[in-house]
Amino acid sequence: MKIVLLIVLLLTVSAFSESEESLSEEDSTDTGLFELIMECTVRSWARPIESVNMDRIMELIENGLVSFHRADWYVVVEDE
Amino acid sequence: MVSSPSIEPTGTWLWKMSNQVQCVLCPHLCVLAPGERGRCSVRLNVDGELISLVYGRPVAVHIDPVEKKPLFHFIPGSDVFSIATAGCNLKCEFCQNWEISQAAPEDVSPYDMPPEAVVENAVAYGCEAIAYTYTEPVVYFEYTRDCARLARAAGIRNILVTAGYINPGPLSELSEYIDAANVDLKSMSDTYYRNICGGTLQPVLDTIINLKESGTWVEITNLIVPTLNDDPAEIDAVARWVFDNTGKDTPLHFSRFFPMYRLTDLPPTPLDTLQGARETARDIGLNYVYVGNAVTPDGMITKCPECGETLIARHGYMITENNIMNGNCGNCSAPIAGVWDGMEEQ
Repeated sequence: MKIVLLIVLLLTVSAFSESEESLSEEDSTDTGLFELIMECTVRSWARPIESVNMDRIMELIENGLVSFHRADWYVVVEDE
Repeated sequence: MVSSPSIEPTGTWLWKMSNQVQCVLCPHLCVLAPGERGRCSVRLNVDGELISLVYGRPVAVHIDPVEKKPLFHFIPGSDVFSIATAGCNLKCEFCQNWEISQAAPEDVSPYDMPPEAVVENAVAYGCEAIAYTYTEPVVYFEYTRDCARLARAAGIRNILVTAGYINPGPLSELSEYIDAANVDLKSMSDTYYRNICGGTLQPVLDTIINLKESGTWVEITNLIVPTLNDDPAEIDAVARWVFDNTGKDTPLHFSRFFPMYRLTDLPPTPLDTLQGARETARDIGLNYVYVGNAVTPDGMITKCPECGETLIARHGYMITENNIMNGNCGNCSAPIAGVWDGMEEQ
């Protein structure tokens, strides 16, 4: 899904950049934005974020094999 | 402020798409939907609250000589109570402890050892320090911090052995209790960090500088991997950065690579490469440069930068000779940088 999204973004940015002859400041901003989107979306160099089987995790918590300790250093992402 | 999650261990979990959190502990800045855990595999979003799955659950508990960390200028010859939980925020292809660092917490068998028990054990076994090591103490941040706080109160020192991939805020909170750190500087190439380690370079450099500025005793390790970061120019860049940014007295350990994890097709680092790296770093001006994971003629000897006399000789992790007197060279009385058995840092 992320890859499809990325391809769509790539094509969109590419179409915009081809529509004008000169490379204006706005274009380079677009490119920077695209690079940022790509970085945040893919990050193939990093370990992946993954979904867990919560039933199993809760069972492990019950058995004391993993902890249920509130972490620090996080923020709640506000809904738009 | 988030409310407490509703925990129903045997119930069905119906996750909403809201309640996302962003972990700001490390530079990955993972944004997690409920039921997702971060790149470290140990921090999980449970209904809008971030949970550590490894607090008080170490998977490795050992007593090591401080030289094994490696720290050569910090209370030499002392025993260190060493702990690690599962998890890491990097994915280094050469990881020597990948069985636990790359494991999820549910795939290993942990001890039940809350911070109080860690400190009690350290005292009971006569350890002078506790080391947060083997995997990555950044990902078990709260456990590290709470252990370190209790240890400090009990007169036990704290050692961080880390890749340094942490944001400045949490590091500042942690470093308040940390006496010494060995930080991996894996390369001076951001591409190397991305391709081989799954991270980026700049946060690591920032961590080293921030630790130094906080007054923590810092030593740096650079693992030299054949064909990947053994280019003389790259070794030169590492040593030069250490010299320019942390000073001539920061110990630098060049460590020998052995085939491991995903890099079993590479040979061990040739001894000549390690010796060459040591000479390069010394030529740049660093006073204390060591070779680790290898037997070399003088790779583990500390010499006085003033008179050249041997200060500390080591055989493996054992100290066979120690001529440092009250933090000074026993021969010429020059001050030797380090923390020497209760002496203040020079």
